[in-house]
Amino acid sequence: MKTRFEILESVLSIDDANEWLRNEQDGGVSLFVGNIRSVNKGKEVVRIDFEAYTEMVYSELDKIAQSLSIKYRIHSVLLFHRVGSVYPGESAVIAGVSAPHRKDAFEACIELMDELKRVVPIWKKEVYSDGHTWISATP
Amino acid sequence: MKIKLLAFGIAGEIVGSSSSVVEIPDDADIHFFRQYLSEKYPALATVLEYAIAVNRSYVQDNISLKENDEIAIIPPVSGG
Repeated sequence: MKTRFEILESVLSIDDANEWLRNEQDGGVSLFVGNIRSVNKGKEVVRIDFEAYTEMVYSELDKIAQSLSIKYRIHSVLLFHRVGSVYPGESAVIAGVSAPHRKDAFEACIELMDELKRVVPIWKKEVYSDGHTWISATP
Repeated sequence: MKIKLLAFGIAGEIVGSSSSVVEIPDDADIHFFRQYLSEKYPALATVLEYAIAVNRSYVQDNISLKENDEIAIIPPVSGG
């Protein structure tokens, strides 16, 4: 299995992700793109500032990919994530998996995103015109 | 002994810097370190529940610490 993980300050490329994932062994590539909404829980979002513990992001993603490769028949796992300021309509994350068959690709991609949100050390601060909130941080 | 403290997300705001060097007793473990943090930064208690990573891996409270360890306060993550 091959992996590619990138923490980026620049615009994410779905074409780059798809080209890297596409190969002759695999009949399916599942790609998820997460974008910034302009309104969250009724509040207008000016932008989201992402912060990452980059070195640990890579080691946690390695562990997730290893675990996915045991559970599903897959050949490649990709994750691109933005850091810094990201604005409504822009993409914050691209997750992708290639597999011989679609079910493994779909399910592994869902689990990759679920695990990203559960353990990978990245934080989002939602910025409004009148303040900011660290998402998930306070009761 | 000296350790490197990293604080991310809301913890960085509470601690006041994202990276600092901290002096702690030689026999300190994570449990001690959590107590030290809550005394020095009472506002950390408002953070739902934070995890601790030592040298880039999540650890339990009974892990002992060594000189120059990199200890990170990991508030609930929210990537994606």
